[in-house]
Amino acid sequence: MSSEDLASASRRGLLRATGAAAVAGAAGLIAACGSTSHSSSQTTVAAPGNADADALNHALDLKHYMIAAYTAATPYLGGRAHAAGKKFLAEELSHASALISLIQKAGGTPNPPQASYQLGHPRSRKAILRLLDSAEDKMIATFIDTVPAVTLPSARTTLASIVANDAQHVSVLRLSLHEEPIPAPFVTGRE
Amino acid sequence: MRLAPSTRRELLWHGLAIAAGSASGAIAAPGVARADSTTTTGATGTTTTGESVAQSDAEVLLPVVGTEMLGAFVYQQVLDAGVFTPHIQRATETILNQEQAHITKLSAELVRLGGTPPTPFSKVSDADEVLIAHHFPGGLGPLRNQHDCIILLARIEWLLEGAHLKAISKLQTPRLLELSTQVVANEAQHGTVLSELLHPGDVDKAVPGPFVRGTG
Repeated sequence: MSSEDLASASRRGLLRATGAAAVAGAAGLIAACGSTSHSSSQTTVAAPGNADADALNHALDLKHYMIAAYTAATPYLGGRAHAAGKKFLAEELSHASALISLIQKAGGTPNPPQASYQLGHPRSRKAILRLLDSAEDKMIATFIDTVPAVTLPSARTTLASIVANDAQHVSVLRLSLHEEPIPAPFVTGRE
Repeated sequence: MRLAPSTRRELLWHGLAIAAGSASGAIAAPGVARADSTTTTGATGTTTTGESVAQSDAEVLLPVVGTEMLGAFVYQQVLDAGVFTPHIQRATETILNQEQAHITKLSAELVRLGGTPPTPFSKVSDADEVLIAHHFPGGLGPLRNQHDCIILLARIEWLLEGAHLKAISKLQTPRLLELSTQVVANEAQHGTVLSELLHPGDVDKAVPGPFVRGTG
């Protein structure tokens, strides 16, 4: 990024375009990581009564958003934040892959990513970092709610392990924003 | 809540033995229910491994509180050693304050479940005994320099992560599952901050991988 304050119109266009491309690319990667391929004609609704799969699919939806956000935002970050963005994108893809496996194990069908995501209109590096921080927080809050909602102990542990990694992302993003990296003793996604 | 030293020691020892899991099987106390225990049954001597003995939430929380107390004690010892620069000292004090908040909250939950929290560590020799059982070479040992102290604290964070993740696989109460998840996320953040103190700007070290696993 050559400027901290880009023209909003071009940025909006770029983010939308890149976001859509990112989702398409991420979907391919996720499908490649999973044990089965997914076509657009497949149902996106888990079997009735399969509460675990439903809860995990809700978590997966947020992961898809996060993947789109990192894919779209990372090229506009420089230096350390750029390296972090690339790394965190890879980690989000790993999380999505793990969730897909858990959903399939629970007898559900993983939700595919949306064709595009509204990522807002960040006009500066700082605004992009805030967008990522905010999206991570929202995801953490949802995942914490999801942990008790799933019955399989190993799925709970995997979700908690993902929450902990996402909390690390938040700390690094906050360091990049020159903010307190550990603002509270209990990570809720709402601090 | 004060216990006689032998009782406190026994409780803590048992609790931490469970938290250590099979890696520290040598210190696992007999007679303590373990959900992942290996049992031999019947005249055939068939050995089964699995979740055959369910632990209560209080039993699951006990070693977690014990491990948090160990962590807080180690942080205090390191801070008292006076090897840190003012910047690192402040960051470490923030983490210790958060560990103490974990202890307060988790102990309250344990009491609510009818359990009794162990009393905090007061002797280095007690902490050393547990640390060495958890494969911390030399225990608290000589806290000579900043680097070694931060490494020790990072390892403590991994131990705490492992204790919480293990608990999350066993806890039943939704509120406790959420609480333990909130805490393990905070412990992971501590690890990231400690790594930043040691290797500023190195994101690969600050966030080692996509899944926080902990140790123990």
